Amino acid sequence: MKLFLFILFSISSFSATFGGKVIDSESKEEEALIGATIQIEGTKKGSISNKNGEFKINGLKNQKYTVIVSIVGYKTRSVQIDLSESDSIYEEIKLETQYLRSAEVIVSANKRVQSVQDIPISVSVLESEDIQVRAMNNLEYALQYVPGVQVTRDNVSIRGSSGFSYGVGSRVAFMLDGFPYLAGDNGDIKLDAMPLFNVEQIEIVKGAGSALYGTSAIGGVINIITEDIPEGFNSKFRAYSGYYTPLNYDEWDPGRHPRIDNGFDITLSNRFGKFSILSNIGYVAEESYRVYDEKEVLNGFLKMNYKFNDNTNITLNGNLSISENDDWAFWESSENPFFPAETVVFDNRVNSDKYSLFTGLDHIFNSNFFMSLKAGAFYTQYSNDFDEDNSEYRASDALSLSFLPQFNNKFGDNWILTYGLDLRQNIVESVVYGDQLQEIYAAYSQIEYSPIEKIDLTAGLRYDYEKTDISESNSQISPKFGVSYKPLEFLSIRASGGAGFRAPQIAEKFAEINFQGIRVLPNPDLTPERSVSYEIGSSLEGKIFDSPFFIDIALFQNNMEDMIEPDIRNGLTSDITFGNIARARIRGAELGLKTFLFDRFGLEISATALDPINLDTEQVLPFRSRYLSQNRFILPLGNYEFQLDYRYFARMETIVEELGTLGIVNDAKVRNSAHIFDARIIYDLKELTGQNLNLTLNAFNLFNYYYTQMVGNMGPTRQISLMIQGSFK
Amino acid sequence: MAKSVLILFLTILVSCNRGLEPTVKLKNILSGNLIITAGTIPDSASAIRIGAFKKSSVNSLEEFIGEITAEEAFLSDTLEISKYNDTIPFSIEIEQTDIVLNYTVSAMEINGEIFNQRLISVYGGENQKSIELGVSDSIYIELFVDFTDLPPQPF
Repeated sequence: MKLFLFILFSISSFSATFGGKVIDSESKEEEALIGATIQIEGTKKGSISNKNGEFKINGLKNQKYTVIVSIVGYKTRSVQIDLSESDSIYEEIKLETQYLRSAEVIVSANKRVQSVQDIPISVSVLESEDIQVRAMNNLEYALQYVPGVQVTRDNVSIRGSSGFSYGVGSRVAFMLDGFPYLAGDNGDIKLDAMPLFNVEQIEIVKGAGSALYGTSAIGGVINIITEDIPEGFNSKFRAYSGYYTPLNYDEWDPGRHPRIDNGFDITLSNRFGKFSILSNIGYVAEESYRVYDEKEVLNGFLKMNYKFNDNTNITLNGNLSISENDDWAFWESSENPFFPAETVVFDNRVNSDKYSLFTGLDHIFNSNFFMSLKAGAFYTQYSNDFDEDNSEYRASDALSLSFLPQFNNKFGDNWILTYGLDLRQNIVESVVYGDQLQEIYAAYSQIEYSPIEKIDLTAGLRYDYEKTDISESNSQISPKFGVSYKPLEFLSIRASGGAGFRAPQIAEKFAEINFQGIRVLPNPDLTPERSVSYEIGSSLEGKIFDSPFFIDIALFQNNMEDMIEPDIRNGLTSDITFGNIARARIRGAELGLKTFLFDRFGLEISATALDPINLDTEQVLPFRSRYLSQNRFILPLGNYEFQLDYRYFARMETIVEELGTLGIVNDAKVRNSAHIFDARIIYDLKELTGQNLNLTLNAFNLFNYYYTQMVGNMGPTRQISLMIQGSFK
Repeated sequence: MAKSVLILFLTILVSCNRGLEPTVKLKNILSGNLIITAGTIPDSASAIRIGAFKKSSVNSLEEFIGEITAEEAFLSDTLEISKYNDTIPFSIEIEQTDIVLNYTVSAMEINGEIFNQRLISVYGGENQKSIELGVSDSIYIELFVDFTDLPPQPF
């Protein structure tokens, strides 16, 4: 009897329902908004509005909730509902058009859904629209438009945290839907293996994220959030073709015209009952703007979701990328910058395959306690075309296994506790790194407290343990703190600090490679990098002369010890090892402004100033630009929209000088600042065709500005590209 | 306000029409022959190079490395060694103009050890000679090697 009453009580405790309809507030016909996200703050419960704009969330408790409603192009709303007096509430939620493009809801900063304004650390968000309109197939191109981010030939640097390390190691933790996605051997980000066509948004958390995300998060975190699967059968596609225009100078002509890049993506999805599935296939073929830089990539993405009931949900994600491309090379010289160095073997190509499969189980025990389990594998394999007895033959297989259980507890209205484990194994079989096993085990915990509505306090702690085969083990305790304060509706202030930790990658310790005149030698005695980071910032939003604006400013400092950097050993030979060679201080400021002026056009401006110094040599850290700026101008004109992007990065003041003096890179001193304009016109074909189609004409590097992307590497020249994309229900 | 934005925009636009441009490189070529006058190249020799220094002497390994790193000295590629050839050609491209090379030498690497170098010839011999390079000059010199009587090691 008692058991029966207990079960009955338990069931009836979760019997409340919240439903409603999401509407465009400015539409006279009260147009329904399809695909809006409705989330119960601090929990995993949520829904997506259907074709009638309607939604329903079951299994709630009879208590008060804060509901966050968001959709791209509209201002996010927080709605308070009170289910204590009723088992069911229905509300019409009206959303205002937002002319300032910014997502206000993110997941990554504190590993749970929350509003950007409540987060004590700087965050940038790239939305799906920003990625699709630029016909991006490679994460490198997408990240170039993020304030404070610089991508240098496969190395991602957030606020100067990284330079160039020949594609090995990352100071940015990288995830796909919260699942770790760094290669087990190189520890690098596979920029061309991301399902960018199925991205909802990309969240970039700046500053040390080690207290929540552990090793590799010492410079920040990038989390790709894939799209939710909409109701019913849906399909979408895009296809594009781009042509590199002739160079301004005949003496630089790389020949073989025309040079074309092509690509397409097709996505099919269906949701029926409790089961939903989405699959995408994509293909890219790039002839590139220079000789020996061709690439072909086949991508596949699969996402399945099964909702057992309102409290339990399981997801399976699979991703594959098969590519064949010319190997990495420096230029022949500044006189012939679009040809590779003479040491290059033109027949040599690199074959690279990446596969991942991971599953996530979310279970809500009650409205104050839920669990998220993730487990999976990420496999990478690459090899070049040389014979196995050739000294430049490279091949490596790496399997990275991860298990990440996480729990969230809410105590009353003011306390949220997040805790979990992060268990990983990297298993490597490699000609260049040997056979290695790396184990990384971590436990973390974070408490958030809101003493009053306007203040959020955060404190966290993480313990990491790392061991690689024959090397000594390493461990670190990484604390963090944060505070966000919203004294006024339009003003928020934040401050945060924390310790960071990065264990050396297998490649950094054990690499033994010959590569185009460079010899990389192992250093198994590498020790972890450690850092302490601080940030203060503020954001302000409002209206001036009826034009909405949003301003954000941040000051930051990152002190690093035992930085792992590639070191040319003796100044006479081109032997490189990775060494703990630097104490560094990276400090800077970042300013961002978004506005929609005079109801006519949108403007986004960002500027980052960095002071990245090697404290031992008092020189600027190599391969960093002191100043970065990313800007955008948007002019909607009926069925057309005109966009203009402007990117700037300052000349890299210092590089590893021996690259030039030893003749590894010819004309290594030839480097310049970059001023790059991209323009596009987007034409909405809906009125003409009745279908959800649009046509985009892109002109990348509109003025054909020649710049060095990296030492001995010219950046992409002007490309005119046409893209068509559409979706069908 | 709109005017200021337009001026700023035009300023940025003007600076974007430049970028890297092809440059005519002014460089000098120092070329010549290493001529073996007596003896033969020992079996232990793994490489032979020519080095040209602005300084008139180099007295330590550190100084030697420093001069090269600071681009105050210029090294050739390793020369093609053959026991059957007593004349070995060399060529060095020097991308500096109006300089004087006061100490030009040849050294052989022993047993593949980069730091195990043996001086085998000095340009001018005991009466060390300088080489003046102007702009786009091409200078030919000859260095003589007597493997039976090698010059003293500078360090």
